Amino acid sequence: MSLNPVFMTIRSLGKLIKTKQISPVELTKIFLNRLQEIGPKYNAVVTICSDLALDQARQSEKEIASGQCRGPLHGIPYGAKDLLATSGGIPTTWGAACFRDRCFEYDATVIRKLREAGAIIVAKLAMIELAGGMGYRQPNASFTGAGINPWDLNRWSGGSSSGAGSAVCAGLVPFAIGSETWGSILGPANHCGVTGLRPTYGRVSRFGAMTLCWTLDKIGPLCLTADDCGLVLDAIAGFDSMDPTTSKKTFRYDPSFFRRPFRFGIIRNVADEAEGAMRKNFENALQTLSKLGTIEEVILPNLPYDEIIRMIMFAEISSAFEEFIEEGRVAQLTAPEDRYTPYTRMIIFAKDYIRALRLREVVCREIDEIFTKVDVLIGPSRPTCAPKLGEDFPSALRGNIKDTMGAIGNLAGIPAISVPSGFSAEGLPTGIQFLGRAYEENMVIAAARAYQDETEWHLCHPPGLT
Amino acid sequence: MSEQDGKNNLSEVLLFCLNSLYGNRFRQEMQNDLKSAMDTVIKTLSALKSVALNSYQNSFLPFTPFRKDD
Repeated sequence: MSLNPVFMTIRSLGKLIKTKQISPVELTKIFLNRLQEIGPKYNAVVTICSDLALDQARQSEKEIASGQCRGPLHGIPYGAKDLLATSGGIPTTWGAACFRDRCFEYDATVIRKLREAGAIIVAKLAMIELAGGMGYRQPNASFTGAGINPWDLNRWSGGSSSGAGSAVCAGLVPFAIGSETWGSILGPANHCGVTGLRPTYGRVSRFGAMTLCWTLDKIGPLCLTADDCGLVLDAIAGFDSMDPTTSKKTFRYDPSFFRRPFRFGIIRNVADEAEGAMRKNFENALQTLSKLGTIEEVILPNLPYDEIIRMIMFAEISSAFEEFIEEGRVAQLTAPEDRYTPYTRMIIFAKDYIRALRLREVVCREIDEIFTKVDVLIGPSRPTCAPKLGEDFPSALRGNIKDTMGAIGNLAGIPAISVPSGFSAEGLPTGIQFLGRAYEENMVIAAARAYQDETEWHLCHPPGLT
Repeated sequence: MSEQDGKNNLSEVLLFCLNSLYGNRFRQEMQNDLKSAMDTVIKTLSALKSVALNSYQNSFLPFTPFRKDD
């Protein structure tokens, strides 16, 4: 095989597999080898699933040889954030040392759906311990070590889907599955210069996924392109009787979904929350987007968006991990601050949580009204580029930085996608996000796809990794 | 007592509760961080209370009576 499949999109790999130019077994071996050889450099991997992956690859190869095609993911290797349950003796650690040997006897629905789509699980990927819910404030908050950014080994890959971001960025997997409560897909996508899709709440089953916040957790893909995110979402979306919060609204990815001109909206002053390079590259991106549609300023009601989601998170996290915290098991966590900060959330009043939920409804109605005037809202994906390792970073959850779009998007449970928008002077990736109406993933993907058709940032990869 | 005094008081009361419940798990050098985290909670509460809500403004969590055969 003379083709180099590393950094090829799912769509391209799928064509090569279908036309038998690449075999799923060869492809799987290439990515298993990269995970073993390169993965440790970025602390990206918890478990490499070699035996299972090769079994699945051989099965795919047989099926494809006999003319059976399961779809665009058939024969494509992937990695899953290590909060998704996997059977067969593969541990599911939640990034925490105390769960390093814990195995489930069932697969998360997402894992099952990807298997049924013919995708091949090659690795469980590193994450911030307990998805960052304990209050970490620096990158070294996982028993596998700080997630290291392939663009700069002195920088963090982001969290909590740290390994998913760095693994896609470094070409260790063609795609990965991450999860987001507030920033855990868009953050690593931004910091690592890859494309990350946070679907509508309830679009993807959370059965078998670690619960951080029942009303906020979402599962979604990190890929090289928006188009690939659409292909993966198509495979993992859908109602699941095992997760009563899943929606019965169906999703089918439509790669031909087209809108010209797009009606882009920018929330007034939202770019001011971002630091220099994030803001500058966002302003540059506006020039590109102005070719694709109209851009209008949107004024939102003055509501405490960050505070509403923070209160909901504090309350739901402390309930989801009540026994873990009460029993003092937080003392076994890696980040020193994770060993005591959770206690401060144990004395939240019920009335304050309920007030936050009531305010959330106001936010949902207000934001839905905005989408009668614009197709998507745009803004910097995160307030900052990748922070330095070994230093505290600003955090909207801790309240020392604002993330209005992230707060609104996650509160309202609406879809967003982050795509690369350039680099800082230090060579760190920046991202732009497209935030859409509930259940309109095809719209946000189409907007991101149109932007990627006009730019080449998503084609840039860290030197020495191709 | 001014509103600000009340907030400071709440922060101190909650910190007292925190130390009463879990103080044996904290070291002295953690106290500043705990106070800072508690101050974030107080500021969050304050921001939430700054928005007026009418009693008819419910949350999205309707109660539904359960029947297994539904």
